Parts: sequence; structure tokens; C-alpha cells
Amino acid sequence: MAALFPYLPDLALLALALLVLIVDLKSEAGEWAFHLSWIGLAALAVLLAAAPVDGIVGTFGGYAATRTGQVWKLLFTLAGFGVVLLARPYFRTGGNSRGTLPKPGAFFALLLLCTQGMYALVSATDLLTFYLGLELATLPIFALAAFQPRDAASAEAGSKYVLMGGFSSALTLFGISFLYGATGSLGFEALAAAAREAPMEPILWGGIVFLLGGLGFKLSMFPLHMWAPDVYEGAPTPVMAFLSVGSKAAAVAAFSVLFLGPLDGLRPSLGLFISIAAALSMAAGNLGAMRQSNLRRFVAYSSIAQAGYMLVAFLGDSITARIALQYNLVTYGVTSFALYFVMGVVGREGPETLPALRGLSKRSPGLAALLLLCMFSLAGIPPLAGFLGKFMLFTAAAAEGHYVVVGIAVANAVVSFYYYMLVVKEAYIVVPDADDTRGPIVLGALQKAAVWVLGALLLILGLCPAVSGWMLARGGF
Amino acid sequence: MVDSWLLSCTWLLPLVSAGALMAFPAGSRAGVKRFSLLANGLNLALIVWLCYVFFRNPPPVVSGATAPSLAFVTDVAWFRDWGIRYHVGVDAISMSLMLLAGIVVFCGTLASWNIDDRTKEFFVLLQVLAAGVFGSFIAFDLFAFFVFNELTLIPTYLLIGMFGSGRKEFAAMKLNLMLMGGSALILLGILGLYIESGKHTFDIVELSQVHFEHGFQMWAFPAVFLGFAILGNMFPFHIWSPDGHASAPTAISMFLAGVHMKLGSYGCLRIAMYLMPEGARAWMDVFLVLAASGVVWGGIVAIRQKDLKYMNAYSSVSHCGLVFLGLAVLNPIGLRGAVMQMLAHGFITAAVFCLIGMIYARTHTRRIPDMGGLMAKMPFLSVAFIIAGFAALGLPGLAGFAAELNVFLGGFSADNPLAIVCTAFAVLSIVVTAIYILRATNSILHGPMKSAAHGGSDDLTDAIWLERIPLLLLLASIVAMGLFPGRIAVLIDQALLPILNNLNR
Repeated sequence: MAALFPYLPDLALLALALLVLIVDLKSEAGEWAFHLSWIGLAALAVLLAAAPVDGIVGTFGGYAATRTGQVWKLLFTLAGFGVVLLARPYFRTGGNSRGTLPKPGAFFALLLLCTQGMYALVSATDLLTFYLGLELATLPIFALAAFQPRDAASAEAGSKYVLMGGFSSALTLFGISFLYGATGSLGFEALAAAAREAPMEPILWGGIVFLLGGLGFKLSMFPLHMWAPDVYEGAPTPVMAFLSVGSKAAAVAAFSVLFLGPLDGLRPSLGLFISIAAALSMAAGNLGAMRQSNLRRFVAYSSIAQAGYMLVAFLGDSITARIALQYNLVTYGVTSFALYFVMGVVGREGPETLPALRGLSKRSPGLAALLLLCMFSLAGIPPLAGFLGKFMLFTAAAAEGHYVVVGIAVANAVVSFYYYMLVVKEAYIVVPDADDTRGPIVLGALQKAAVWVLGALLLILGLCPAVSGWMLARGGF
Repeated sequence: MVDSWLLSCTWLLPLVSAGALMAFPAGSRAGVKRFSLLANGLNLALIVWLCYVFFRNPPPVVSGATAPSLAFVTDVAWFRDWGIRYHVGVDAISMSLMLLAGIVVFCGTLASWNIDDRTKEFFVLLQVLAAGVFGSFIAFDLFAFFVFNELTLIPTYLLIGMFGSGRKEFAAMKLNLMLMGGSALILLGILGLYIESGKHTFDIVELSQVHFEHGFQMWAFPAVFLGFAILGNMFPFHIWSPDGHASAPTAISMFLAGVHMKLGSYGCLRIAMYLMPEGARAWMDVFLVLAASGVVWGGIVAIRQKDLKYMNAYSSVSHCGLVFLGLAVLNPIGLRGAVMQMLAHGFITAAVFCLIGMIYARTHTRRIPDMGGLMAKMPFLSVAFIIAGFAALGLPGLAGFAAELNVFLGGFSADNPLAIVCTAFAVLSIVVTAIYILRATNSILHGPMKSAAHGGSDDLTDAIWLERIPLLLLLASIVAMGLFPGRIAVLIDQALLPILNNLNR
């Protein structure tokens, strides 16, 4: 029994997912499913943050509980937690202009199962578990993307994600079979040994190319980013939030599990590839975002660019890079949730577009201020969270002498500033049309609290060393 | 010990007051203005007190030292794992720039008394902007410096975009994108300094003791210098400033041109030249030529301007060129001239923008040909305009003269023949400046009234007491600096010593 202790979070999450499904059979309203999900995830986050880490590292077949894994799991849990809270109004009548979402129980259960897959992904010690985790983290999203009933865009998003996701899974599996061929084993240790002893083995590289293709899709890395705008636009907003925060975190984790883990020795040879992929992802995202007026498409392109920034860190030393990536995901996640929260409130009364934000600073100063902080955070302007995240990513790469890529990345940050400012401009500067009769936006007590908490987090994560220090203490070796 | 925390209060006070202002009710106008004035008045008093303590007993400077002698130092760990510290302190250069900033912010608050739309937002943003600039001038940690410096971007964009005039959205975006570009270069250089030093520190004092590799300095110096030079308004990277300054509301023009831009030249001196002296020596010929071209180009373009604000903005390009010329000659007199020119231009341009704002509020036009004979109707404003204008063209006895003289003397005493040629070229600007200043003064203050063009308003009134205070304060600073340049020059010389020692190492 004691041997199972390190796996307590994983088991608890599984139990939670099943419980939500069972509860859903009993009550259709979904209130129970919602409360179970958010309380469960919050408890899980506390458990992951507080659980003792000294010396207890269990291994169980191809599944291990490690310190690094624990930090990743915490990130996934928090992402899931955020999505659950964000999703609640979408199940209520009048909660969103696109219509009410059905079946909250199924929705939350799928979300939890998805998170379970992510847990497996970072606990894997062999390629099979890794692949199973990746699949479990992807499959529920096929359903979630198409969750909006009688909505063509949502259906399109679902089918697009199925097709592209299936393709990428096939690529990943194909890559794994190559790696198996090169090493004769699925275990990470054998893989690490092979990468050390014969780093130029063609079969190994064949596998890596396919793996990069498969994982690059999940990360929306150029040129595998094409799906993102359509899926983000079509999917319900909470699902988009999960895609851009949770799923993105999982993709980054998958990359780091392999390339900062057993394949670490190959990264010097991958430097040029990473640099080019990062530069093109940033450019594609930033150039694409400039012309968007639909906020969900806007978010999609912005997240492609963010994926590019995160790739930059993969040029760094493995520990620095991992800490930087994890911290950046936290800052990016908080910033994104704050943005989606604003979008959710605006989305109550009409489509989530740039012109819908017009005059927001007068209609709701609090929301507008939060949006302002989000945009500056995404653009990476201090003293906001996004700056510190980017700063760490760039420091990791610069420490290994990759100044050119860092230069390209900061130049891209300048370009991105332009379109983030377009959003600020709509909210603060553009005067609404004369026939715009929308009155002030009234926020409930909980929503007001959310504005304050998210705004404070954006500042704290940019100024306070506690969180990054904790991460370093947890996973910095 | 108490004084060192007081130094941090200079940026905390505006920031806290910004927070307090947010709690004011949405429609409140008079309360917001009075509260901001109180906060900025207190802050000015605090800075004056610190200046008094500092200048009465300046920190001793050892003649061969390469580390700055700082007063009011606070140095505590911030991001321990990354070697980031909250390290603040002042030497004579930062102290005098703080005084400039304090005076301009106070005067700007008074000059914004006519802001009646979204008053609260205006003053909140103004306070945040001020906090960023105060923090930057005292920061001796590169990371902290960068954070403070960037803190000014958010309010600048909104202040110009929301409260500006003319093509304000375009101007705000252009200004911010250019400055962001500069910041990107600075960030790259800062990361490089952090990593290449091998000391795991962002501390300017510690980094000043490190000898960086020649190859690194050769690319990092131009990056950092250029990054700051964009903010510092160096030709040909000045293209954001005329639009930005002309579109901004009065107080913001005063602040951006008078103080914020000085942050650029200050960064060039304190970070680029101080930490990477080899790069400075290798690259300075390029910047010498750019600086001298800017001095003359800015002046010539200013002659062609019809809009008073654009005229002063191009005049700033010319005068900031003199700052860079002083920096680029790399000798003690030139550097002293550069720092004095930062101060002089800060006071003068703030006074001129303040005056233009007040004149515009009465005539409803900024076009030079549409105005005339204002002297008869508003003698106070007109005389103030003449004094500020004469200071700008370098009349002895006013601030501009002492500064320009040092820059030119520094240039002519340089060993580098290119420096002498460039200085000789830049001296032409004296004539050019005289042309546009005298022409503008002549055209708007003298001659017949052009009441038809003044929007039909014949009841042009002179400045009320509320408007006279900022003008008198700025003009008094200009006169004081013009009459007693020696006292401040001695202290600036001492503060420049470590930088010069590094440059000659």
C-alpha cells in the first residue's frame, strides 16, 4: 500500500473523474459535477504542492512519480481548475451568446480524463506509457471541441481536430516505432543510452523527425499550426481555454519529457532546427494575429507565437530550460485565463470580436483594466507576469550563447506589441459609434473578485520571486 | 539609513498615489487634481531634501576609482536565484536628473488643471509614468532599471492615445513601437552582460568592475547604445518623437521631452559606455557623425515647421543631438557638457511645451502664421516664452549656454580629428536655432493681432496664478543653472570620474 503513495494524485484524479461521471448519471443539472470538479482539482493542487518530495520517487512499470513530474502535474491541475471555473456560465441559459452548452457532467469528466492523460505523459518512463498519455490527453478534446450543440463552426472544429490529431498521433506512433527499431527497447533508459552511444544513427533520427512532427502539431509549431485558428474559433470558449493553456502545457511537457530527458544529448544537433522552428512559429503567429477581428482566432495566432517563444528555451541547458518553461506556462496560463474571463463576460451579449470591446473602459473600468494588464503581459512588458516568463525563456537560451535566436525572439515581441495594442486601443481609445446603446456591464460579486484576483496574480507573478523560487527548489536539479 | 528608504519613496509615492487615485469616485475632478498635486508636491519636497543632503555632503570620490560613489544606497536581494537585486542609490548625475524629473512632474500636474474628461485615468497614468522614470534614475541593477524603464510604456501609450490631439493613435503606436524596439535591443544587451560577466549578477556597480571580451563588446555596445539612443532621440532614430510629442497633451509632452528622453541618454552613459568602454571607443565615430547630423538636421527641419509643437519637437532633436555629441567625444569636458545639456534641455523644453499648451488653450491654434501680437494681450506668457526661447538658443546667463559651451569645448579639445570636424559642423546649429526661435517669437508675439484666426476669441487673457507657478519654477531653474553652472559642474565631474576611468582603462 505504501508503494502506491507516490501515485496518490494520479489515483485521486482517476477516482474524481469516475465520480463525476457517476454523479452525472444521478443528477442532470450538473451542479454536483461542477462543484466536485473544482473542489477536487483544488484539493489535488494542494496535495501536489504540499506532498513530501524528499526521497520518495516511486517506479511502477513504465510509470514513475518524480519531482519534476509533480510540478508538471500541478500545472495541469491548475489549468484544469481554471477551465472548470471559467466554464460554469456556459452551461447556464444566457451565459453565452452562442447558446448553452449541454451535459456539464460529461464535459467535466472529459476534462478530468484529459488531465489524467497529461499526468501519464509526464510520469512515463517508456515510450508506450508516453504515447498512451499523449492519446488520453488528446482524445477527449475531439469531443470537447464539438461540444457546442447545433453549431457548424464547433462541429467543424471537432472534425478538424480529429483529422489533424489522428494524423499527428500516427506520426508520433510511427516515430516511436523507429526509436524502438534503433534501440530495441521502449524504455527511456535504453533510449538515453542509444542517444549517447550512437547519436548519428539514421534510424534514431528518422524516429525523431516523426516525433517532432507529431508533437509539433500539439504545440501548434510552424508549419503544423494551421489547425489552431479554426479549432480555436469553432470550439466553445472554455475548450479553447483548455486547448491553449492545458493542452499547450502538455505539449511543452511532452517535448521536455523526451528532449530534456533521454534525448538531451541530441539537442546540440537539433539547435538549428529548434531555432528555425521557433523563429517561424513566432513570425507566423505574430503576422497572422495582426489581421484578426475575431478574438478566438486572435488568441489562436497569439498562442502560436507563444509556442515559438517557448521553443526558444529548448536551446538552453536542460534544468534552466525546464524551470523557464514551467514558469512561463504559469504566467501564460494566468494571463490567458484573465483574457478568457474578459472574453466570457463580453461574450454574454454578442460575438467575441474586437469591435465588441469598443468603449469597454467606460462600460466597465475594472474589466478594461484587466484586459489592459493581459495585453501588456502577453506582449511581455514588465512589471507583468508575461515579462518574467519570457525573460526566463530568453535567459535560458542566451546562457548557451544563442544570442541570434534571442534577438529574433525579442524582435518578435516588438511586433506582437502592435496587435496587442490594437485590443487596448479598442477598449480605451476608440470612441463607440453613436448608435451603440449598450449600458455599463454589471459584474457580480464573484466576478469582481475574479477581476481583482487575476489582476493581482498578473502583478505578483511578475514581481514576486516566491513562485519561481519554489519551482527551482522543487525541480531545480 | 532613513535616507536610503526615502530615496525609494520617490518612486513609491507616485505609485501609491496612483493606487489611491483609483479609489476616487468616477466623476471626481477637483479632488483628483488636488490629490495628485499634493502627492507630486510632497515628492518634489522629498527630492529637494535629498538633493540638499546630497549636495551638502556628497559621497567622496577616489580619483582612480572605477566604481561609482553612491549615496542613499539600498541593496536587497530580489530574485535571489537569478542574481537580481533591488539596488538603488544616487550619484550627482542621477540626483540632478531626479531633481529635474521632480520639478517637471510637479509643473506638469499644474499644467494639467484643464483636463476635465476622464480626469482620474489621466492622473493615475501620469503618476505611474512618473514612478517608472524616478525608479529608472536611481536603479543600479540592470533588471530593476529595465523594469522601471518599461513601466513607462503602458501609461505613455494610453496618455497619448486617450488624451492627445491630432493623429494621436498613430503617434502613440509609432512612439511605443519604436521605444519597444529600443527596449528589445537593451534587453538583449542586458542578458548578454549578465551572462558574459560570469558573475551571475545584474548589478551595475559589480559589472563595472568586469572586463568584457572585446568580441562581445563589439556587438553588445551598439545594441545597448542604440536601444537607449532611440529613447534619447538620436538622429535618425528620432522619427517617433515629433509625432509623439506634438500629439501628447501638454503635461505629457513636457514630461516625455523633458525627462523621459533623458532616460535614453542617461542609459547610454551609465550602461552602454560605462560597462562596455572598448565598444564605446570602437563605435563612437559612427555615433559622432549621427549626433552632429542630428544637431543640424533637427534645427533645419524646425525652421520649416508651422506648428509650434512640431517646431519644439524638432528643436529637441537638435538639442538632444548635442547631448550625444558630448557623449561621443569621450572626454571629460564633453561628458560634462552632455550631462549639463540633459538638464538644461529638460528644463527648457518642459517650459516651452508648457507655454505652447497655455497659448494654445487661449488661441485654439498652434500654427505660427495664424498668431500674432500676443505680447499686447498676454505679457507674462510672452516674456516667459522669450526667456525660454533665448535659453534654447544658448544665451549666456541661461541654462543652455553653459551646457552647449562645454559640449563644443569638449569637441574641439578632443584628440580625434573627426570629433573636431563634427563639432565644427554642429556649431552651425547656433545660427539655425537662432533663426527658428527668433522667427517664431517675432511672428507670434509681435506684429498685428490676428484675431480672426484665433477662433474669433478676442478676449485673450494672460496667465492666471495657477499657470504662473509652473512657469516661474521652470524659468527659475533655467536662470539658476545659467548663473551658477560651476557648482553643479564640479559634482557632475566627480560622478563622471568612474565612467571616464573605465573609458580610459
